[in-house]
Amino acid sequence: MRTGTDANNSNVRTPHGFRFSTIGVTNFAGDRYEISTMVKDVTINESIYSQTIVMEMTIVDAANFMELAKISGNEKVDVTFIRTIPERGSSDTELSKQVQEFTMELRVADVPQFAKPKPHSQVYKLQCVSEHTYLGNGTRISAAFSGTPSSIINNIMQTYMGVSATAVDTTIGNHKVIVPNKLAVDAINWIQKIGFDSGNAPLYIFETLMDGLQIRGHSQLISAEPLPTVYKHESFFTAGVDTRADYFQRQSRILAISSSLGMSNLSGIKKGSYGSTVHEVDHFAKKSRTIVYKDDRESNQMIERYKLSSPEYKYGTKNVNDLGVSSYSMITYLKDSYNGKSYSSQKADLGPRKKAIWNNLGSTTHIISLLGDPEVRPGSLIRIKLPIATDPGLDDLSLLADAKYDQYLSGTYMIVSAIHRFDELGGYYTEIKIKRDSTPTELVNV
Amino acid sequence: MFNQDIRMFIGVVEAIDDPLSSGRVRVRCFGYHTEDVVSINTSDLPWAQTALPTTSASSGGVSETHALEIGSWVMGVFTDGSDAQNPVVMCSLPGTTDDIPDWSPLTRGEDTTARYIDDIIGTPQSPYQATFPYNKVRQTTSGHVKEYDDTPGAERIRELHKSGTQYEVHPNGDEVKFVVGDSYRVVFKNDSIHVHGNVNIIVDGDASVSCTNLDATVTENATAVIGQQLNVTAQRAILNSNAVEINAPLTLVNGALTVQGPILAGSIAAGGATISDSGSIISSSGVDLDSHTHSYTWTDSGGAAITSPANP
Repeated sequence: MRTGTDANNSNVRTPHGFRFSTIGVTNFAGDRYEISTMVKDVTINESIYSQTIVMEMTIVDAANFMELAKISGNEKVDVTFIRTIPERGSSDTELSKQVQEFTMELRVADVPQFAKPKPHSQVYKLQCVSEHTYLGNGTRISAAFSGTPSSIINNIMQTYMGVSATAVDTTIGNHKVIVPNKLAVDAINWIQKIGFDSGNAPLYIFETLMDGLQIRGHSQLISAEPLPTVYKHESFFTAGVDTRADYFQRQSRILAISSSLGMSNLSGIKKGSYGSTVHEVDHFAKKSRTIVYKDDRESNQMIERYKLSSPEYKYGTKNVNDLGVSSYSMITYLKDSYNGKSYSSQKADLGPRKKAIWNNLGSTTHIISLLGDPEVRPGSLIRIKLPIATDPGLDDLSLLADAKYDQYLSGTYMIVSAIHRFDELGGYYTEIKIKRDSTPTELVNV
Repeated sequence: MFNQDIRMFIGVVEAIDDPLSSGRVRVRCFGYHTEDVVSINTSDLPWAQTALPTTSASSGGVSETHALEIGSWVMGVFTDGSDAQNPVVMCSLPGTTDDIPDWSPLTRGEDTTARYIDDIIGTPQSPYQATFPYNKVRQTTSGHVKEYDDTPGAERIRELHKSGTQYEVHPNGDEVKFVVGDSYRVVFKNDSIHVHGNVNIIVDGDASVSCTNLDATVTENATAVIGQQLNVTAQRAILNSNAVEINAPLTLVNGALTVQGPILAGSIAAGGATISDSGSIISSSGVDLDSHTHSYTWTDSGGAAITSPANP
């Protein structure tokens, strides 16, 4: 029995209704095998820190498919998921308005698990990645490039990985570099280190189910419009079953939450979140300078309004910004070695800032389970509302809506990763990791 | 030191024409830079700094220069580690090129450089007998050479210009110098030469010495052989000697001759007169002044005629 979808036409009954339309495996000989009936579950991982989505599917194989198809680990896998969801904003109650379908084409990268629980059956997982990942891990680059970091990265993607970014944010600095014989995926990560958007914030290069491969700046991501749904952690459903209202109430429901708030300044100080020092040495021009970075998030863009570190906290006579450290103390470069802006000088100028932005992004972290939704994707801003930590029985339920929610932890976060889990019965859940660098509540007033 | 991994590289120099005139070179580093010049053209390669030994101050214009050439194999480090954007060349790598050693042939006893012998002054043969690995040679592209040869028994120092001009110091301390062009030497203050032995100067052309005063001290004899004429010009010529001997069929004094001592001569002729070795003086008209007499008369105060000079 399917979960949440109509058995005939995939109409969703609940937001977690989704079903595999087709799952095909094409082997080296070009033979395609439809295996959707053998697939027990599918898990798709997407993250702003990963250039590829990673899909794992569990196959219960009682047809000797592995031997029949001669699965050797490089097969092409095509997957189509489909469901029909209610039209957002419509006033009627018909739940068959909008078809949501997405198709992926991946390559088997690994068979991480295999078992024969009984003689005539075998269970295994196929781990799949995007085809560009194969090319990116199988192509070394030793070549000269010039341009902005995002244009160089897109150039590498197109030339060596056969894929173009669907979104490319502008980056600062015009560079001349030689990629020193690195794998294409590593070359991209390497250029990413000196990639900063127009807000002097670092870059993310990632792939999502819905948007493909993207080159996005932190500033652009955190200044974008958040997802339209506000996700709430509540106890009861109040709308009628199988109504539009019920559908959207369930869709916006936080099923579970676990958190790693990471609020301690100690780890942040150690990582240089609040300040760091870099010694930049140009051993050709024989000049050196000390770049002292003080995290000035009042003027930097943040997800929320107030930063989580308070200058009121003193350690001896110092506050957090005075406790600057860095994982590297010296960056060297040669003046005009490329007759253009140096890779290393950009790293020295903005590297500490990047570390601070990334470290501060982890000031508050939650892992949240939702009913499945492919629109909930890494790089997006999401708004959540968490209830205050008091016994609701002691409160007047007629309190203003916002008063029921913790103002300190609720608010806007950035989704950094999402795990989409589909099962054979049409169940679909999404688990997201969300982070932010700030709070909507001024710390001194807490 | 750098808080990052230092990566070494081996590469080949592709350009040395540093636009900053600071000794940088472009190196194609194996394993980092493809040999495909379309992907990485020579002009794409970074300018690598060249390290010099501590014998070079490398500061404020006080520095040696490298001698790298296009094609030199070098080893160095990327000071930025795996980023590999900041190459510094630490040394060059001699080996073989087409199975021929890269070291100068002079190091292994193969001397094809210019050599000269002067038979007139008898310059000695070069004692070059270099054997590997004793001869330390610095040889440049055009053919300049500097040798410090420690070959046992044949120790030499030699410096050679590509034109052939050279000097060589032999194992016994002899120095032999050849200048194939003109030679100029300017000393702004004093110059002293002390030659313990003999000096032999042969000038095929003319020689000229110009100075304020010339003092020549010859402890024994001085001999000048002049093929044609000796011209001495002086405001006053003084010849101090116990005896002056002039061996010439004719000695001409174009001016007054004052002799403060006696003149000892077989005869002296002056204006047609002769002083003979017997002491007689004969005028140009043949009058013997010793015996020549004249008659004369005059009157004294008394009016008497006098013909005898008894009381002149």
